[in-house]
Amino acid sequence: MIGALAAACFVKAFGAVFLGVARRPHEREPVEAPRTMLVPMAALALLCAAIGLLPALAVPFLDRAAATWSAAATAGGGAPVPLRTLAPVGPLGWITVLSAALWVGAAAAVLLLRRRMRVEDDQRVPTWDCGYAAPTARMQYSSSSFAEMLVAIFRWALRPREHAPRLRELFPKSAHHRSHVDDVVLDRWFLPVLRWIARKLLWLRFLQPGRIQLYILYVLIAVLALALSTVPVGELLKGLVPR
Amino acid sequence: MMSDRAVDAAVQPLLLLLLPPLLLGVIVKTKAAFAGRVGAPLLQPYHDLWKLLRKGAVLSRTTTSVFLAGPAITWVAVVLAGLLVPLAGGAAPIRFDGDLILFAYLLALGRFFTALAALDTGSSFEGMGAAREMTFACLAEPALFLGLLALARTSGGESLSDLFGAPIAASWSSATPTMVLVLFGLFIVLLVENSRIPFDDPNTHLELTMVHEVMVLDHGGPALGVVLHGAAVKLLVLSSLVVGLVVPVRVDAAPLRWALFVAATLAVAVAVGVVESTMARLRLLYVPNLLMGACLLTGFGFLLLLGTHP
Repeated sequence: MIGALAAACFVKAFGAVFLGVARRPHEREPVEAPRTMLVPMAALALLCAAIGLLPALAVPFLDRAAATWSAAATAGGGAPVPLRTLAPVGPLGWITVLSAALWVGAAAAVLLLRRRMRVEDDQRVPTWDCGYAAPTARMQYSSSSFAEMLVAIFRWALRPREHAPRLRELFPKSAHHRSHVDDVVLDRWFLPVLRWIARKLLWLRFLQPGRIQLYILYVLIAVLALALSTVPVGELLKGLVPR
Repeated sequence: MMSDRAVDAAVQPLLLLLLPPLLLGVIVKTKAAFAGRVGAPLLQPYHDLWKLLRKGAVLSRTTTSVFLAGPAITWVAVVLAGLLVPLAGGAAPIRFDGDLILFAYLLALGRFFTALAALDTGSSFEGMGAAREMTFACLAEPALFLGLLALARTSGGESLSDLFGAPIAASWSSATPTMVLVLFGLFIVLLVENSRIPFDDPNTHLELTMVHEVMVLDHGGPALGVVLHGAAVKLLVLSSLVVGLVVPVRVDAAPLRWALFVAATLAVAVAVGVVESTMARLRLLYVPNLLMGACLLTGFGFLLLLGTHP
């Protein structure tokens, strides 16, 4: 289920950001970033994709790193590290071969289909609108309409908030409908708990008066405490006690 | 004389590409028989595909390269998934431990790109279809995985070839209730993944009633042909899972085995046709309930095993 949800999430994100028609005209004509900014991002993205799709190529590097680390750990007298290679994690060789086959096959199929379906730009037509005469870009599926069904199914956990107009009169005036889904974990659990802790600990503020002398004193106390912690108190006590 | 494995490895890709349209023909014929009509010839889907592949292209101004990449990548992903399944018992051309996860996610990858191609058109109808397809998939995925997990537990294997291989017959006698539950669960997954009734009616061309068909409203000509063929391959692949469950008899002779497989697959197509003729499409709001029912079926099937198959 997590996999399918992830797929739905990325369809939603990619579709809403990159596909379809712009809902509003651009306020300023967008400008592409200079190449020095694009190339590093592309290189990092390619490396990410390569590690995921061709794991057998990435594993030797990781194994070598793991080997030096485990050798160092064993030399230092630590327990031997059990996992010296990543190979048992999964059928990495198969994944590599098959994903290479998949993407080579996919690229070939895409090229073939594109050659077969080449259409000049001036021959293109509008998207099929089911006979409706005046569609506008705002009628597209937005990302919240895409997620609406999923949100409805998981309503018990996600608790979407809706502000729907209530119709009372025969001729209702123009109204707005808004809905949004809060981040369940962050907005409903972490932030309230953290805020509560912050309120309860307000009295500790006197420690932070903003005077540098005090902070230096804190550092001194910390250093002294550390130094004292090395003193073998037990041994000293034993020495004090007469035999 | 070729060895059995070589025969299997050669026959499977061929069947995978050539058999699927016949399944569609059988379904249509079954439905026609129920309605008292003669119906289209069995081989009509082949003619339709051939016609589509020769047609010219019409593209929307809105679409980008994603629009054509969708059908192409989906087709490749589905066919690759088909090579992981042992079609006629035996062993699949490609198999390794854990390939069932790759199988499920190849199908998901295909769905991902079909949905992207749908959103690429900027049409609200296609956006709606994409949203429904992705939503239903979220609920069908646990049913599929729990079913496969139950099979993995009964057979003790970790690849699809082990799951649907020789131990199936033994599983039927040792874990009958589980096998029945998993069978029902997988049949429901087959129906939803292929957008058949009761989830979706592939025959309607009313945009608002559809799930899969509405996503490909804007695809025409060769692209539509690729979409339809890919969908038919997916139908065959998922039917073969059901076949693998219900036909536990394993014949050694390759020709007989493949003939048995084709006959059983066509029988599944008839079953799909019977379901479509005797049921109405569910109201969209009830679809998630049915899918959760499928998850419960396969989930219970798995739970039943916990005592008997450690």
